[in-house]
Amino acid sequence: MLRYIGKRLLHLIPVLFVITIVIFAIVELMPGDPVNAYLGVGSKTTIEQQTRIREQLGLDQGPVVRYFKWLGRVARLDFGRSLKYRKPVVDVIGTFIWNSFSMNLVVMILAFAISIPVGIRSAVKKYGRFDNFWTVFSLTGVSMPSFFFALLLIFFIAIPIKWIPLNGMRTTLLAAKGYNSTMHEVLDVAIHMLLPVIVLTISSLASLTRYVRNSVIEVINQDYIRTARSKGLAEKVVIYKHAFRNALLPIVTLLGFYIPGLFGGALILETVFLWPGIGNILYTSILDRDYSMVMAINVFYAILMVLGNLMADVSYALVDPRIKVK
Amino acid sequence: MEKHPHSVELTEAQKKAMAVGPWRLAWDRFKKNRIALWGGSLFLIILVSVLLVPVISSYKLSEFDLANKNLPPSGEHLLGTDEQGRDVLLRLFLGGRISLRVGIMAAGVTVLLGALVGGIAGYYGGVVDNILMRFAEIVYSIPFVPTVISISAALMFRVSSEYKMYLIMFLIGILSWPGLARLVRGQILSLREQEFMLATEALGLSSFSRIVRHLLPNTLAYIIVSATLSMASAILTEAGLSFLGLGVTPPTPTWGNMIERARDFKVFRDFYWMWIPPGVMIMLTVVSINLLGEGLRDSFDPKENR
Repeated sequence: MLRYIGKRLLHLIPVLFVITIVIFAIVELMPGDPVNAYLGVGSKTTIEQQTRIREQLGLDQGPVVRYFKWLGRVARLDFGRSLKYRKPVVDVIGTFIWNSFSMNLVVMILAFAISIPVGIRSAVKKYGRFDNFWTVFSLTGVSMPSFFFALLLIFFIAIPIKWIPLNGMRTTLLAAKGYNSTMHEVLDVAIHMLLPVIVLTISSLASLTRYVRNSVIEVINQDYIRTARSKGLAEKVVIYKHAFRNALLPIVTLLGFYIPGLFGGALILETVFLWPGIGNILYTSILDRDYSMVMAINVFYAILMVLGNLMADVSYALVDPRIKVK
Repeated sequence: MEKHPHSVELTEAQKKAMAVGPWRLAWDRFKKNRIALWGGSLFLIILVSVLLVPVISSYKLSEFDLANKNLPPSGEHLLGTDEQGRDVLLRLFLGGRISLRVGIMAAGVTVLLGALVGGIAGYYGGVVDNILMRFAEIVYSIPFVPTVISISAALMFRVSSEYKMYLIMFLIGILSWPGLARLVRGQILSLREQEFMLATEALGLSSFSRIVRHLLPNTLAYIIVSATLSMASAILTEAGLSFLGLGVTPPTPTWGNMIERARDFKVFRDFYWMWIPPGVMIMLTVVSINLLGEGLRDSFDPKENR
């Protein structure tokens, strides 16, 4: 098993290498001069001062040299300093990760807790009323742009109902004054989380319920289920003990894929709700031309993606004894 | 002489049954699939109205009418007017043209790249297959949303407004092909071993003709399904990008950048007719395409016997 994981990890090196080149090239193409961004709007500096800053930031060298220097630093987890936050990029990301993580965790728990029973029931009564309802539900869910759904929720729920906040993560006044208790803070954040969590949960339910349903259907058609039935077992036992356990396999794989994704933010949605997560920070960093942030967050997303694929494969190999580790 | 009309009919029916090819079978199954028919008709209606409404409309896109700005829906302006007094209904359908075009062309790029790479990898196998599939794996590992957003932000100011939509289509296409490439490759690997390919070899056909004319058509079912589904997701991606202001930018209307107006809180709260209709249109379009795609998948799938 360890050898399998080790081999898969080695496979990742060229993948990450190419992705970092892509990211570096993207940021090279970005408009504007990072020196100006560093100095801020309307600062009065002479050309000599600007040249000195340029040299200090290492911007006077060619792109290839800078790429390898950057890569060397990335390997040591040194992503430089954020021009906007005036702090090491790693620290900035470190604080915002948890805002994305806490929201994603709630969404993931809800999504799995709902989709597994729903998926099983849809599979057992295939094409029944319950199944058809969820078919329509998931179709609408995957077809609705998440940001539009978010706007509708804000328009029809948050605007008429005064105690549901429009956006943000905390009530500004409360956060400035300080909360009375931890409970108070948790409640405040929770109520801000309500709408984005609804949107994200519904959009993940749309694909998850289908996924669970299809993997249960696949299992139900197997010979060993027929055997279990012909043995005279109760339908409940057949479904929950024999079928579900085997259907769990692809679901666990999916869970493996999801876990690294918990740390990444849903970019567009966080932007709509002004949720201070990783996705939102990437967007504002792009607008602010905070290039070291943009690069670092892109690398971060790439690592999450690659880890997700790896986790999916590894968890599959772990759960399914039929898969031989080569 | 006795006539046997019955037996004649039977033989005709038998002939007909023998003549039914895979396409005919798929079409018959598709016709029976009511959901797919609904999706297809809805999509056709949207397509036709997007083409026709701007022609019929008595308003023009370039007409500014500041005296009649921010008007709510009425008999004269069915969906009201925007902040510059332009007819929202007209902009909605003109925007639809762009959004649909981006979707169709992005799907085209995806299919072209996916089918070619998958076809070549599957046909040649060995080192070529290895290299191409490693490359597909790398592209597949690129996180889609952050990368698309970063690239289009990087190129935003280098590309003029009218070319931006081409930029967006290529971006979406270039990042979305690996899924289809894998599918096509898998199919071709098994098709390659069949007898008709031996026949093409005996005929001395070129590799190009063997891939494009004999192998790819056999994977067409997958390609068509994948094309419809990737069109749906391309429309959603374009909408998201334009909503963030990183896609197609005004004055060219698209559904995404019409919703973008809702980021202005006053427009959002008071002028709902400016941003709800484009959102509804995106939803209807994507639902119709997805229904069509699912229906096609079922019709082409020989295992599906509903």
